[in-house]
Amino acid sequence: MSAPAQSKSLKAIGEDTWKNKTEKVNAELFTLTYGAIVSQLCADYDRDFQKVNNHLFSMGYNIGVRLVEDFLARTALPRCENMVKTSEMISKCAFKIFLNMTPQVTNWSSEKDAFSLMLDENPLSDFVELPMDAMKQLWYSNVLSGVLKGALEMVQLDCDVWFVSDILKGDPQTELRIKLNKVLKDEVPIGED
Amino acid sequence: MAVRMLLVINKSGGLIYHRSFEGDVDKGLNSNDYLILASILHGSFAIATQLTPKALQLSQSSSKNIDYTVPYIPYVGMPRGRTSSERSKYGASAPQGKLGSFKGDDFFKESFQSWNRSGVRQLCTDQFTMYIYQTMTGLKFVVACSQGTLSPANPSSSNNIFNIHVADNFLRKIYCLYSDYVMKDPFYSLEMPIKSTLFDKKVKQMVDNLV
Amino acid sequence: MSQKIILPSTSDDGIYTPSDGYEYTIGPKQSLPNEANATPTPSRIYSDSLMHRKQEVSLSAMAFLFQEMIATIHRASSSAQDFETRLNGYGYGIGTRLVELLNLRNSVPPNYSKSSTSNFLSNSSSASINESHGSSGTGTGTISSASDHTHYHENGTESLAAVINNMRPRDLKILDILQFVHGTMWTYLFGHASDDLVKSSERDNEYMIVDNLPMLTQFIPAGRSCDYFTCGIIQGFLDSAEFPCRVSAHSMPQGELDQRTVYLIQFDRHVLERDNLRFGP
Repeated sequence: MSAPAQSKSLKAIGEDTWKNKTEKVNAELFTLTYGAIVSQLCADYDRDFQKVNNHLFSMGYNIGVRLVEDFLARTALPRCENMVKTSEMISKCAFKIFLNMTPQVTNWSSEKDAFSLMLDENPLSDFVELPMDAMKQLWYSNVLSGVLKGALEMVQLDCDVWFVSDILKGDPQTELRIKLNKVLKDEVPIGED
Repeated sequence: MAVRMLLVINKSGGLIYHRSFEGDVDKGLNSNDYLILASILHGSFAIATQLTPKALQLSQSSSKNIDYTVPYIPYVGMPRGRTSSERSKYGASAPQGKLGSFKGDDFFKESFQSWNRSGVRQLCTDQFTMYIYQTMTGLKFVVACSQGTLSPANPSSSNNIFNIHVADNFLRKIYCLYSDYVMKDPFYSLEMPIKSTLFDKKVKQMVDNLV
Repeated sequence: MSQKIILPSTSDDGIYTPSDGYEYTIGPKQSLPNEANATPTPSRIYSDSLMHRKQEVSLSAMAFLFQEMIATIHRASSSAQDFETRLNGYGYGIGTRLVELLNLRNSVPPNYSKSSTSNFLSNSSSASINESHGSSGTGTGTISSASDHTHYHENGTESLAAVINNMRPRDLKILDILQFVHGTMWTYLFGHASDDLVKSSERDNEYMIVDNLPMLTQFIPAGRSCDYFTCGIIQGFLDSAEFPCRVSAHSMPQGELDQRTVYLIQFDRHVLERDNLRFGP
């Protein structure tokens, strides 16, 4: 069951994959495109930000279930045996490879089934400031929650993912929380163990 | 040509892609037959995982030193013949490189772990050999070839483990193509048959490069 | 044509001051020294440096976001035309933002490089920032210029304006602005200049920009044109540079380049007349 000892640390794998195996684009194009999407949604939903949050989440979910295949094809890393490993995989590999950032993993629950990612930098929200009416409700980067939800579900981890705080809303930091509900054992592909 | 057909089977056993690379292979197989073939493979794969003798299972779990590592075999399915000057000439017109979102001259360059541990990896008859690569999300990539091996450098290789490793390298690259040209296509619906002409083209190129 | 520029955002109130947002019908507001009391929390945006930080994300991340954007628009669209119009709209807003931004960044002296000359220039730029703070700081009395000074150093960001001596003049000729799109804008967006810029031989208001492998749509099989996003960027850019036009995308495979795409730009008649009046036919 347990994977053989990794010859390279996840951090080194993430950095090497980002540097040598991944084509890159200007982050500002990414920022601008996401901005165009969010502002269009705000207009489409007549500034009902709850609906915008939900829509961003579902967009993220759709991305996540596809993006995980890119991640797995690119890295071919073995399954994580526990959530601590999963958290490192997300932070040091996934975030690094796709967004060139390594959020800090913190705030573990006592059962080790929930943790937070601290997003010090966030290419989705560079140069973003929320209008007054959106300050209370809009989770601007909510697409990320959806991406993690979708991607984890595809590797048979049923999780809840949500934003706890966001610098854009005046909070001191941006915190994304991930809580494992259960491992979908029945859905683990037959033949893996 | 070594490769005779390629299948992609989704996690529920549904066939989402099939392509044969030899006209005569199609004799007698219609698309319905392919669907049945896919679901039989899916089922036999699952049954095979239960067939391992108990003694072997015990010795495996006690020793835990079975190596599932697949070594990297350089440039399987890549355009090896292309000189660097040709590539740079080409690179000017195709600035993103030839490998989509993958940088460099090969999709990966390191050994990796096989996710397929107790399922069927290889199936042989006198007529063909079939290899199966399964991903962590439950997708199966299946390739059948007329000779025992996909390796162009070593066409009569009798080293069977090596043949499996070549196939794993090749199929992981097909998985990479899938992640670019199927997953990043907004008009593709998950779990449904793959219609992308781009995926077709890239797969064909990779198969041709094997020769 | 060069003009002296005014340093923006010198009344920086600290990057970490939480803001209450802004009135969206008006937009983000920069607090000027003499109205500091009226607006206690100035916009945070104005304290970010516009210096190009050359940050990158993976092409995959961009392609997945683009893919989902297309799928969302496609679901909401009633016809192919509707789809193209909506997609165009998403790009349009981006194009309008690039006119000033790219012109500003392009005004940075070519020999300026952050690493090699950073000592001299960062000294001079922070000095000028400090200086202007001195004046605004005494006016408002809300913030000490010293604390601001450290902000600039902590972040390692410098005011873009402080590096610029002369503003690059705005492009007035059709050919100049097209060169800018083909070179500067394309490089900014896609990492390389476009593969060709051609004038139509049939109609004198038509120009074509050619991309042999459009970065954003390279994973999408031909059929529906998802390149209208880029059309929108081009159109937004040219419109707000006062070169009103229509832009459309056409798939034109050529030999091996089967994803080659041509962006057809059709300028409004009066743009041509203006060009002729000003610069002769």
